[in-house]
Amino acid sequence: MKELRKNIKYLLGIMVICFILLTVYLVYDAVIWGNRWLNSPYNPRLQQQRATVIPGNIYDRTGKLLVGTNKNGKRTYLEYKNQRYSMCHIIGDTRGLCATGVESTYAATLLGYNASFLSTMKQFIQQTPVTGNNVTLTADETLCTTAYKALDGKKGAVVLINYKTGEILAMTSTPGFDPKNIDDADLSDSSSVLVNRAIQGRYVPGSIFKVITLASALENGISPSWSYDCDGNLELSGDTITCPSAHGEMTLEEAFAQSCNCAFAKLGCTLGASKLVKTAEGTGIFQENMYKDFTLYASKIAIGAGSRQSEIGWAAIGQDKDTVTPLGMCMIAGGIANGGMMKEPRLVKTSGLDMSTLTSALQDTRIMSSSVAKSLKSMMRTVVEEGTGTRAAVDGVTVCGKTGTAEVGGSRNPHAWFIGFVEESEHPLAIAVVVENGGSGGRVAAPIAKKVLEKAINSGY
Amino acid sequence: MTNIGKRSGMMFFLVAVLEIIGFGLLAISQEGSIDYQALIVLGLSLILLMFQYWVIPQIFHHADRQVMVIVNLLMAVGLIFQYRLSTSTAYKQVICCTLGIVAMLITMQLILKNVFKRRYALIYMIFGVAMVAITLVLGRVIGGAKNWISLSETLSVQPSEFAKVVLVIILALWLRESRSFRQLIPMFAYVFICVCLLVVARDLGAALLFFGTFLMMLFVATSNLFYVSAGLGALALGGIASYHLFDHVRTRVSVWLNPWTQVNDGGYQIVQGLMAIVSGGMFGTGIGLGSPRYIPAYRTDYIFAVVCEEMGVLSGIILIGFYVILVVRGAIIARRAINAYHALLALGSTVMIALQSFIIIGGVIKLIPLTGITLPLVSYGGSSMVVTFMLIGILQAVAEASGREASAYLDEEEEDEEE
Repeated sequence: MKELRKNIKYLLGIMVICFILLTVYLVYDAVIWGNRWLNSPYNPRLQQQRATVIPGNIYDRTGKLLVGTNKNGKRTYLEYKNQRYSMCHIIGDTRGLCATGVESTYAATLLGYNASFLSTMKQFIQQTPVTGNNVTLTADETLCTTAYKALDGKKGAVVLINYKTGEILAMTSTPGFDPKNIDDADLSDSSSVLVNRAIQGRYVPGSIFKVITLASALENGISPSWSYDCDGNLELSGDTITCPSAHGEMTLEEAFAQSCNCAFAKLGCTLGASKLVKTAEGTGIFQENMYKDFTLYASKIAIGAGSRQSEIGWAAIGQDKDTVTPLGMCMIAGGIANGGMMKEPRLVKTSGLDMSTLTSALQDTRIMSSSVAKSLKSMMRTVVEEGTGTRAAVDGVTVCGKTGTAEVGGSRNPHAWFIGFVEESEHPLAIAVVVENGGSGGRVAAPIAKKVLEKAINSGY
Repeated sequence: MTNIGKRSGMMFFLVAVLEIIGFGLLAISQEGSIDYQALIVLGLSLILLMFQYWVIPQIFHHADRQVMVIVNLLMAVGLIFQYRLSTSTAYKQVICCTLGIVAMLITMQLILKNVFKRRYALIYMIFGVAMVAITLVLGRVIGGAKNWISLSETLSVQPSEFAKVVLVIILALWLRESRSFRQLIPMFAYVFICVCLLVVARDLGAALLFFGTFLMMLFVATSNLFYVSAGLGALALGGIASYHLFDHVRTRVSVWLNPWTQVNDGGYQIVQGLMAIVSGGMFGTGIGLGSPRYIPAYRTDYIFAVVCEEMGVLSGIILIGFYVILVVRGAIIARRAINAYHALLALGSTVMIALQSFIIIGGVIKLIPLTGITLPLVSYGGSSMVVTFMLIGILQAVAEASGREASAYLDEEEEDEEE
């Protein structure tokens, strides 16, 4: 009986722990997932609310009305087609088809579902129709439209962020759709117009991945004077990595400026898989990130402890199995510009009465030491000044960057990439451009980056 | 006793206040007219409450008041929500509660008179297996599980529910004295057969409940960690085997891992439940202002999600707290029991109710895979309500017996002093 009583005590402990677990998980559901589930396009409560409520407006950061509601309760959009297409993925649509837009992710706010008790009471007493709350984006419509025009009908994405605050100034993904005529859009198209390529597109990075390889090398004590003699071919465990031509004897900086594949494959093998993966994963983009305003898909680096030399070599130059998202690479570029400190991205400046977007602390991630960031910065400056990225140079400021021409196999054209930033801290801009099967990064992506950066600097960012 | 009596009087009063506010709000929620039906159900609920406060203590002096208060609180939440969901089910729920209270009193009397004897254990076992098996033969499928038997157009019962009470009694009778492996074999066989039948009937929640209760009671009675780990191993093996054998088990698991990929399909119910829970925020939309009807089984298995939507996540936490208090009281009663048999009875009932609420709440909030069972005392359902009250009856009988013995002992001491 004594034993029995003791056991009852133990069992009670176990049961109470189980119930505490229930409580903790319930709070976890509500706090971590609450907003996402509430705003889910599958939530019938919001669609029900839509029938009776005048939804709030959506503004861009300059206060320009992007989406409003007319007298008949229909959503109104911007006048020109280019404007509507350029922001379609960050605005979304009322049917929740493009789930990355604020129409979906902030549906509860726009529809006044989680309005404060006081404002609900006020509307009830004054007998005014219930109106939702407004949402102001961090993006600037003119920059998005510039980026959209610069992409010129090609498939791809452009992301421009303020690397000091993490605000997304422009995010355009093509092809897009017209939110005004979403019902008529051809959604069966294989080009998947509803996908926001900037955060959901996973592309082979090609040479822009060398930024990560280089950061890892510098972090791990390989000196910038490390040199390599490129003869155009590098044999690695039975596989051959090639350069378009023999670059000859080069330092690390020159190899980076000329984007020499052999040198970086060799560098990757010297580092080894674990160090390379450690630096890459330290950036945080190689896991799925659920930011407040959207979810950034996970990038992928497919090497590990048991990888063969050739696999490490390919991974170090961003070919084969690596994939990255445009925003992820843009954030890394911004992190380098910001002395190794990467900012959490934001798409919404203010929403309704919720001041938390203004005040809540951004999650900073140190992705590399400031001295490594400084060396990288100067090497990326050389790329734009005299290397493969000269077409991204903008008059009056110093642009640093890296081009990428990512082979995608078969006879298809490679993806054209450019990531970079403006060095001057008065213009804290970081950019990533990808053009699907666009060809050479230096010839196709860099000029797009130049156009968008020029427009942003002229607009005073 | 008097002190506790006064305190619990206050608590009973608060339950009454909860019912008055709840039904009062529902009565005036329609604009312009008062819903008198709500007041009728309120009156009936108050009668049930008063009966338990005044009459039961007259017969059973030592029945645990705190357990009674918690039972009534949960019952009140259930009644208010059943009324909010539909008037006719609220009336039925009142009838179920009344039947439950009667069943509770009968169970108490049976336990106190020591009707159940070890030598008849085989008969109880056959009865228990029959209860589970009969549903397999005659039952019809509701909500994917075959656990209902229709007696007429409007009345159907779930005999497997009653097998829960039988299980607790058999386990207590058996484990009171038999602890060696050879002696335990018939009991292992009994539990094995019941669980297998339940799995075949697709009533996974009940199967888990039976096995969990069995394991916990086995541990308490024998303190044998080998049995428990073997049991857990068997559970894992059984889980893996049924995962590979049965389609519906595979569906459950994949839906649990990611319901959002099957929103309009297998994951519909759990996704609707999750969205309902978070749609109310911390404080809820207010009673009557949510949209519970989107959730399948909103009256029964998913009542917790409905409560969370309309009264807030905070109320959900409080509801969990009520079950914790019930479990703690149950454990205290078990520790004070007069003998091992009573201790095991009280513990078995407590574990059964605790595990059942854990399994369904955990399933609804996606902590564990969802298996459909009712939330004790809150969900709509006659069989479940009556059986839960019978378990409470067992618990109260144990409290009553130990209380009687203690007061008899005190009386003796007083007499000694007088001498």
